[in-house]
Amino acid sequence: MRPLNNEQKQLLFDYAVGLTSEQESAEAKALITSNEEAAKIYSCLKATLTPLESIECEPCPDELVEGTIWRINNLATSGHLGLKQLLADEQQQTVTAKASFWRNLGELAAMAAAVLLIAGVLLPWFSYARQKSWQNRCQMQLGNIFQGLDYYVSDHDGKPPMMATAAGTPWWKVGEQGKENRSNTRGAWLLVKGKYVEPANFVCPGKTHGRATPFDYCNMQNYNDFPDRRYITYSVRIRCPNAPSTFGTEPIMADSNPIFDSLEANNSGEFKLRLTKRLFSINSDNHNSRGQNVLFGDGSVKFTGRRIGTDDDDIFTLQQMQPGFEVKGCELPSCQSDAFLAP
Amino acid sequence: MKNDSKNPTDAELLADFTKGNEAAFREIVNRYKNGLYVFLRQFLNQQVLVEDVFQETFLQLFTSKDSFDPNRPLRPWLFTIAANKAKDALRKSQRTAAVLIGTIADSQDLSFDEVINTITSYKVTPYEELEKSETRLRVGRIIANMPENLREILILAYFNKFSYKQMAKMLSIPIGTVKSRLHTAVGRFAKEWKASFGNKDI
Repeated sequence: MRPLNNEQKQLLFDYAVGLTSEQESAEAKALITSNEEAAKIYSCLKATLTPLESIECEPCPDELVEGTIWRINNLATSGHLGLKQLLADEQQQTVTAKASFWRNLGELAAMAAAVLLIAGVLLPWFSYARQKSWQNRCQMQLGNIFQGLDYYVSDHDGKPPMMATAAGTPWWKVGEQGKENRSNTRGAWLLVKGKYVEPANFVCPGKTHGRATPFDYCNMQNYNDFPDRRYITYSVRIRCPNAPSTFGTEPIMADSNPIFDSLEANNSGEFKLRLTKRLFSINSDNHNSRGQNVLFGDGSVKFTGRRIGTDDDDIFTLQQMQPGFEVKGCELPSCQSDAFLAP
Repeated sequence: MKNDSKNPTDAELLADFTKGNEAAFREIVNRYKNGLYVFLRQFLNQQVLVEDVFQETFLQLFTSKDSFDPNRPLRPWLFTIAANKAKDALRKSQRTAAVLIGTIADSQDLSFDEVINTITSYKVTPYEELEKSETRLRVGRIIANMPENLREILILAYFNKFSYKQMAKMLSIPIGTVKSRLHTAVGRFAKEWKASFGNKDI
C-alpha cells in the first residue's frame, strides 16, 4: 500500500472539518474505504473534532436584537435631527467683533512659536516611531515568508524551493527571466508563483519608506524570477553545493546585503567589486543602516545591529572574502557553516 | 430570475434597505443574528463584549448602506466586520485587564505532518464518557485559551464552514496561511484536549 501524499491528507482533513465540496467528499469517502492509513487518519481526525460538537449554539436573545434595532433607529433619527440642529445653531450664531490687527499678529506669533516647539520635539519622535514600525512590519513579513516556505516544504515532500544552477554561473542577476538560472532569488519566486507568499512580503517597508510597490498579478505566471530588484529587497542564502536540503537554525534570509547595493538594476555587464574595510562593517540600507532583520531556519526573526548569524560568521560575506578581495558574483560558500546572504 | 418575494435574497434585501426600507434591515438582522451571535460568543467569551460587537457590526452595516454594493455576498462581509470589531474589543479590554498570556501571544505554526502525527499518535479520550456539560466546559475553556488567530480560524472554518478562499479574503492572508493556521488550530486543540485530562487514564 502506497503511503498517502500531502494532497490526500489535506483532502481527509478538509472532509473531517467539513470544508469539502460534494465531489471532494465523494473522493474522500472512496479514499477512506480503499486505504487503511486514510481510514485511520480520518477516524483520528473525527475523534479529535467530535468534542467541538458539544458547544451549544444558543440563539441570539430577542432583547439584543431589539436593542440593536433601537440603537439604529436612534442613530438614524439623531443623524437627521442632528444635522437640522447644527444648521439652526449656525444660523442663530452671533458674529463676533473683529479683533485688532496687533492682537491678531501677537496671537499668530505665539501660535507659530508653539507649533515650532511642538514640531521640534515631536518630529524626531515620529521619525523614530516610523522606523520602528517599518522594522516590526519587516519582521512580520519575514515571518509570513517562513510560513509560506514551511507550507511549500510540506507540500513538496520536505524539499525547499530551489532551482538548479550550473557551476560558475552568476547568482546576482535578479530579474533575468531566461531559462538558465542566474539569480539566487528564483527559489523565493516559486513561493510567490505558487501563491504561498504574497509578493508584497518580499519588499521591506523600510526600503520603500512604507510605500507599496504595485505588482502585476496578471503576468505573474509568465515570470521565472522576481520582475526586478524592486520586488525583492531581501537577500537570500546562497547554499554550498553539498548542503542538505533541510534547514537548521542558520540564517536563511535577511534585509538586503549592503555590499550589493550598487548593482545595476538592468543586470548589464559583469559584476566586479573590490571589498573595502567599510563594506565589512556597514549594515543593510533597509533600516537606515541601523541593523537588519534576519530570518533563521527555525522561523525566528531577529533584528540585529551586528552582521553575525551563528558561530561569529558574517552573514553578508564568505569566509574567503577579506578586504581587497574582488567579488565577481559567482562565488559559493565552501561549507555549510559559512552563511552567505546575497545579492 | 427574481426570487419569491416571501424569501428575498440578501442582494434584494440590501437593495430595499439602501432605498430606506427599515423592514428589509430588520429581516437582514433576523437572518444573521444567530450565526453572528454564536460566532461572537465563541470568539469573545465575554457577554458584554459580545453584545457590544454584535450591535456595532449591524451599526456598521447601517452606516455603510450608501456605499455598500448589494451584489457583494453579505455573510462573509458581516463576519469580517464582526471579527475585526471583536479583535479591537479584545485589545481594548486587554489594555485594562490582566489576561492569560496564551490568548494574546501569537502561535507557533505546526507543519501539516506534525498535526497529523499529533492527532494519530494520541489515544483520543472518549468524550462520551464525560458528562456533556463537563465536555462543553472543557472545550469552551480550550477554545477561549487559544491564541486569537487560531481561535478565529477554527471558529470560521469548523463552526461556520467558510471556504479557504472566503477565509483568506476575510482575514487578508494567503490561502496557504489559512490552511497552515487551521492545521495548527486543530493540532493545538487535540493537544489541549488530551492535556485537559492530565494523567487521568480514562
